[in-house]
Amino acid sequence: MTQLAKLTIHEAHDKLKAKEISAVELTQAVLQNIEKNNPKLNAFISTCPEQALEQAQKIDADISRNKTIKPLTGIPLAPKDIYLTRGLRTTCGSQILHDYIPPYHASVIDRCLRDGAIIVGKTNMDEFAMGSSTETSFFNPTKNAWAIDRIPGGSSGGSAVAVSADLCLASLGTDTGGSIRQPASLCSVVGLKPTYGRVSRYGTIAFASSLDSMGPITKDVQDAAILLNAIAGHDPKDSTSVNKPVPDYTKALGQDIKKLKIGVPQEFFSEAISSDVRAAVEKAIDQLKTLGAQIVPIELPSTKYAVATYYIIAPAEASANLARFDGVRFGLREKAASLDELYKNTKTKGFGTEVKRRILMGTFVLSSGYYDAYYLKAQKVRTIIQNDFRKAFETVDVIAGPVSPTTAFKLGEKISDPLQMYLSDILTLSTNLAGLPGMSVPCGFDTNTLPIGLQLIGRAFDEETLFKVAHAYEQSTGWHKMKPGL
Amino acid sequence: MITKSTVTYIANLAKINISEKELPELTQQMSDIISYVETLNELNLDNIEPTAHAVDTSNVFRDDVVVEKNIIKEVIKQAPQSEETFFKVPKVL
Repeated sequence: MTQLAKLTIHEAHDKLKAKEISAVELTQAVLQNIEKNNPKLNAFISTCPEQALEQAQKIDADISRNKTIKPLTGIPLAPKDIYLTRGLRTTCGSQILHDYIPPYHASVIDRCLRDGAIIVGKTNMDEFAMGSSTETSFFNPTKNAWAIDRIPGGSSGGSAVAVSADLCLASLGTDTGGSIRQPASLCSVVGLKPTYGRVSRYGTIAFASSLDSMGPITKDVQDAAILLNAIAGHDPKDSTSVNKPVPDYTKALGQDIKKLKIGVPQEFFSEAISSDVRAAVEKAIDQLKTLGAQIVPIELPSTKYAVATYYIIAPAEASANLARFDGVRFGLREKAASLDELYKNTKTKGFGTEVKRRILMGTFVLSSGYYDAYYLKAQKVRTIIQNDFRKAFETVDVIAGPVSPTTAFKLGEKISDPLQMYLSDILTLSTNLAGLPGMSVPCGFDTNTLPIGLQLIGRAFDEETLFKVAHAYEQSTGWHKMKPGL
Repeated sequence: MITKSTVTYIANLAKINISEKELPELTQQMSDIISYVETLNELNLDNIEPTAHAVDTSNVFRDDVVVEKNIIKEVIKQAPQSEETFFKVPKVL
């Protein structure tokens, strides 16, 4: 029965439509898997089995009355705990929100539910999305299903593990500096960061408002296209969401890539990249060549400044966004004799170490006397980074490279050296700074059977080309069919 | 560059208490991070416009029409302390 949990969205949809399986059976299979394997993986912060089964029953009643079944109808999803879900606890991985019950849904959640998706729970994450290993979560780390002494990546680690271990059929993560792509690559699942503004951010807890992107984490490329179809599009409640029509992304699948030019930046293959990662990614790029694409060496010289730029801009924006968590209107409130003490006692107790560090960094770079020296400078470098990509896309259609310099490291290995942790983000940060779409698709394993992902970066609003290339690559290999032995 | 008193000052701006015990390590870490991000000083940034927003959108306006959203009851439910529709806090001064 738990075999049903192994299905992809499109496989489950076909079976539901053919009435071979019911939404209740599918949801039960997923819930059983969660019960069996979540205790050792800790992928979930909250689960809602009763509501999920209630929803599934409603969906089955609709299906029996021959109501239209959309691609997401009856599909068990597990969104990252950064998406507000009305009536269901949303914590953002933090003690400061450990009891928070939102009064409304995120727009993205609304869209999925209106299409008949079933939420089975909320997945674990680095606190306020600040981290690359899911180790900063107040609710303890999530373990990588491929090796439980290793990190799953972050900040959407719970989502990536839930998908890789069949604890849901798909998830929604967020990506501010790589937080969808990196855990997807470390867990051998597909992760898509859409173009900034492609998907509404309304109702998702903000980390860095000019960088945050909402996107799918799925078992294969087709599922990512299905989910993006459901969530993409203009939202009047998010004034940064772009009013551009949404194509049917599934139409980009099954296309050949013969005329495409794939740019390979030399800066993405420095000595910091481990030999296993380099070998797997180079082999994947060779495979793209075999499939008919033209491989073009390119340069992205500003890559070396991405970490510095990001770790000025993101903490600065975070320090503004997290000011609202002050104990006044919602969330944790500590005892205090004055308002000033209320703020201090609540924030001191409620925020973890990494969050505090970033708030302080952000406050510092925005403070009087330092704004020009740091924040303004970083914004100018952001222009240079965007220009580098613009130039590259004059000669190529897609950029390819690794997602992470290494495969999953051990739990506890980097958490006490923040700068080391930050440097591991070097390959994904510039995509967010430039607002571009990026995808991670499984491309192999290292000698310890730890997953490696191929990163594809596209032009703004050209997710279709990413899907074209990713799907062609995926279908010519078998990586997406491999599962961790649990 | 970043001294313990810088950290204490910034912490006060950010309304976070940093204990005497935490202060030395935090000061060192922040100092290391700031030194690292200063690599941006290698670049010539004259005549470069700053980018605040990656995608080309500018002021997005809507008509000044009231849209009723009766969620005051649900919102006040979340308040740690409230009275009618007011959030209650300790005295300000």
